[in-house]
Amino acid sequence: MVEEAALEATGLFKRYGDRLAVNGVDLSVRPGEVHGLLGPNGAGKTTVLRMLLGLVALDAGIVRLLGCAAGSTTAPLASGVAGFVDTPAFYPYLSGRRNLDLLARLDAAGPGSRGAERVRAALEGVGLADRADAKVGGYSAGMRQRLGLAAAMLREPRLLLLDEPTNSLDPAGARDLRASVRRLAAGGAAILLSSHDMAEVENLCSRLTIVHRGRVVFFGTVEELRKRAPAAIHRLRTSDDGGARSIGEDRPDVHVTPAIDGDGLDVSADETGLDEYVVALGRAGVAIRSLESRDHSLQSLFLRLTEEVDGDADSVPPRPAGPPVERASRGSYSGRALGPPSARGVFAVIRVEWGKLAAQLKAWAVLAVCLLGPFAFAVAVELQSSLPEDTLFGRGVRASGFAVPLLVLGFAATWAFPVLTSVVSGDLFSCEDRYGTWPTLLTRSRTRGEIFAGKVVTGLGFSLLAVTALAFGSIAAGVLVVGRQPLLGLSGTVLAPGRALALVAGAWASVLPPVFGFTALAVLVSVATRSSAAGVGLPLLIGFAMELCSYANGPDALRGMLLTPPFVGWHGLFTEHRYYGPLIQGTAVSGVYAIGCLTAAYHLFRRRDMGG
Amino acid sequence: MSIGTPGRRLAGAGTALLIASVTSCHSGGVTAAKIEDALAPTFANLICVQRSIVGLPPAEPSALRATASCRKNGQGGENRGGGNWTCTVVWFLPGHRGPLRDSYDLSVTMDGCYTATSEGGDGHLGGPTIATQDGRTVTNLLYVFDGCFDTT
Repeated sequence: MVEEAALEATGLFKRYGDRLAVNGVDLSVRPGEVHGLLGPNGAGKTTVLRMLLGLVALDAGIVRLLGCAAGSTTAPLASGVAGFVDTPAFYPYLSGRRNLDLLARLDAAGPGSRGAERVRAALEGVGLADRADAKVGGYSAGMRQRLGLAAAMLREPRLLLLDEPTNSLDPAGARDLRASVRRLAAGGAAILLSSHDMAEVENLCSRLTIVHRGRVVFFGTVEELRKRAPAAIHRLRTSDDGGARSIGEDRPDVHVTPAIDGDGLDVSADETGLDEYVVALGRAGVAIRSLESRDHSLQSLFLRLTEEVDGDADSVPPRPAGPPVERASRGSYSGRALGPPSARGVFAVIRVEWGKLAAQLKAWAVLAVCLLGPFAFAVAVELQSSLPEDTLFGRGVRASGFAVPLLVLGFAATWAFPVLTSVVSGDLFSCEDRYGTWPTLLTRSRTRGEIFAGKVVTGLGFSLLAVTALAFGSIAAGVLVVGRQPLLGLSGTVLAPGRALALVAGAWASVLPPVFGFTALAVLVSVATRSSAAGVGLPLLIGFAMELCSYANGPDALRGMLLTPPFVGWHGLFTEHRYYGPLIQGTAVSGVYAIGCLTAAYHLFRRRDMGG
Repeated sequence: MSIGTPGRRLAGAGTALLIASVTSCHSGGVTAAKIEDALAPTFANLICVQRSIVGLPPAEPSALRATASCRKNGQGGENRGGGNWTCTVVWFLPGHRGPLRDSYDLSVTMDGCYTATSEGGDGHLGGPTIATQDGRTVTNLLYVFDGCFDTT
C-alpha cells in the first residue's frame, strides 16, 4: 500500500509582474519525512511556502495538505498544518505568552485552561518560558524565531512548513530546533524545511527539492544527489586562480568554479580530464600549489545545478499560455467549506482583536478623552466671559446643562467623529502590515472572511463605544456642571428636562450611521493603502473636505451625497414640528458609504497576496 | 456564477440607493418659503417664553398671528440657498392696535439652520438684555436666536 503524501503540490506557478517567481514546482513530502527545500536567495522558496500556506494566490497548481485541497487564500489553514515564513512576526506590545494565547484562540481548539497549558508547554519547548511575560518588542530575532516555532507547535502539527528556521538562532538554539524537528518527524509528522544552507539540509533531511529561479532543478534523496555528480571534486590552489579558471573554461571535460569559502578553486573532472588540465596549467605557466581530493560536497553539487540553470536561462519557459494544470486547487477543503464566515470564527477573531485593543494605550486614551474631555469643555465654557454663539445651542449653554452635549455634538461633527473612528479602524488592517503579522494571523484556523468580519465588527464596536462614551461624558458634564434646567429648542419652545434628555440621547444615537460610514471608510483606506498614517489621516481629511463642500452653496444633490451632513440630521428633533427627512436621508447615504467601502475593502483583502 | 457578480450587484444597488437618497434633495434646499415658515412660529414661541420670563401676562403663539417675509441679500440671483437673508416679521400683540413689524438679519446655512439677529425694528424688542418686572436683567431671547427647518 502506498502511503499518502502529507504534502502534495503539483505544477505551482506564480508570477509577479513580468517575473515568473515559481515556475511549475512539484513537491511531495511523506509523513515522518524531513524534506529540504533548497535554493539560493531569491530562488522562490519562500514564495512556494507562502503558496502552500495560502498566503499568496496560486496562478496555477494543485496543493493537497494532509489529504485535503489547500493553497487557497480564502480557506482556513487545515487543522494539523502549521508553519511560518520569513522571520516570524508578533505584536510587539504584547508578551510572548499573550501573543500565543491570542493565536491559540484563533485555532479551533480555542482558549481555556487547556489552551493556557498548551501555551505554557509550547513556550517551555522552545526555551522561552523565562521570558514569556516580557513584551515581544524586546525580543531578539532568535527569540522571535523560537516564538514562531512555539506558535506552530500550538497547532500540534502533522505537517510543519518552516522557512529557514535556524536563521538568527545561536548555535545552541539551532541545535535545539534541529532536535525538535527530528523528534516531530520521529513522531510521524512531515516537515518541509526551506534553507539555503546545504549543511543544514544534509544534516536534517532525507529528501530534498532544489529550486532555482522558480524551477525545480533536483528532487530526490541526498544519496541520489551525490550520484548525479559526474566527477570527483578537487580543491586546487594555484599561483593564478583567474588564469587557471580561464584555462578550465576552454576544456569541456573540466568544470572549474571558485571555492565557496574563497580558498582556491573547485575542479570537477574525471581522472583523464584532470590530468590533462594540470598539464595545461603547467604549460601556461600557472604554478600548482596544492591539489586535494574532496568529497562530493553537496554545496558544490548544489552550485553546479544552479549554474546549469543560469546558463540555460533562455530556456525558462515564458508565461504559460494556459494554466498547465488547474487554475487553483480543487476539491474539498479541510475544516470548513468556503462558505460565509462562521459566527464562531468571527467571534474568535473579535475576542482576539479586543484583546489586542485592550493592550493599546491609544484605545484607552480615546475613551478617556471621550469621558473626561466634555467636563473640561463644560468648565471652560462656564469660566469664559463669552459664549460659543456661532454653534447651535451655544447661546444657551449656561442656561441648560442639556445644551452642553448638543454643543459638543455640533463641534464633534466637524472633526472629532472621523478622528475617533479612524484612530482604531484606520489601523485595524494596516497594523498587521506594519508589524508584519499577516502570515502569523493567516496561518491559523480562521478564514480571511472571518478575520475581515471580526476586524470590521471590532472597528464598528469601538466606534460605538467611543460615541457612547462621548455622549455619556457630555451629558454628565452638562448636568453636573450646568444643571438640569429646561432646554430652549430650535423653534423657540421649552423642553422639560426629561424630554430634553431623551432628545439629546436620540440626537447622539442619530450620528451612529455616519460614524459607521466613516469607520468603513477608514477600514477601506487601511486595507487599500496598508498605511496606518493614511488610514487615520485620510478619513479626517475627507471629512474636512466634505464639511467644506457641505457649507458651499452648491447643488443640493451634491450635498446629499456627502457623509458629513448626516452628522447634523438631529436638528429636526428639536423643532416644534419634528422632521426626519435629513435623518432618513443621512442614514441611507451612510449605509451606502458603509456597504460600498466594506465591499471594496473585502474584495481587496480576500485575494491579496501577503508578502512576496 | 463568478465571485464578482454579487459584488457588482451590491455596488449597483448601492449606487441606486445613493441616487435615490439624494434625488429627494432636488425638491428641497433653502428657500424663502421654508425660512418664512420656520421663522414666524419660532418668533411667536419666543415672544411667549420671553413674556413668561419677564413677568408679563401669558400669551398663546397662535394669538400673535406672526408671519414672515424674507428675501436673500445680494444683487440678483434667485431667492434661495444659504447665506445672508433679511426677514420682516409682522405680528399682532393682544391689546395692541395694528400690526407690529420687526426686521431680522438671518445667516442661513445649507443644512437648514439660521441665526436671526434683530435689526431693531420699531424698537419694542429691546437690545441684547432686558429687565424683568422684578428688576432683574436677563438675556433677550428675541434679540438673537437660532432655528432650523427641513431642507429635504
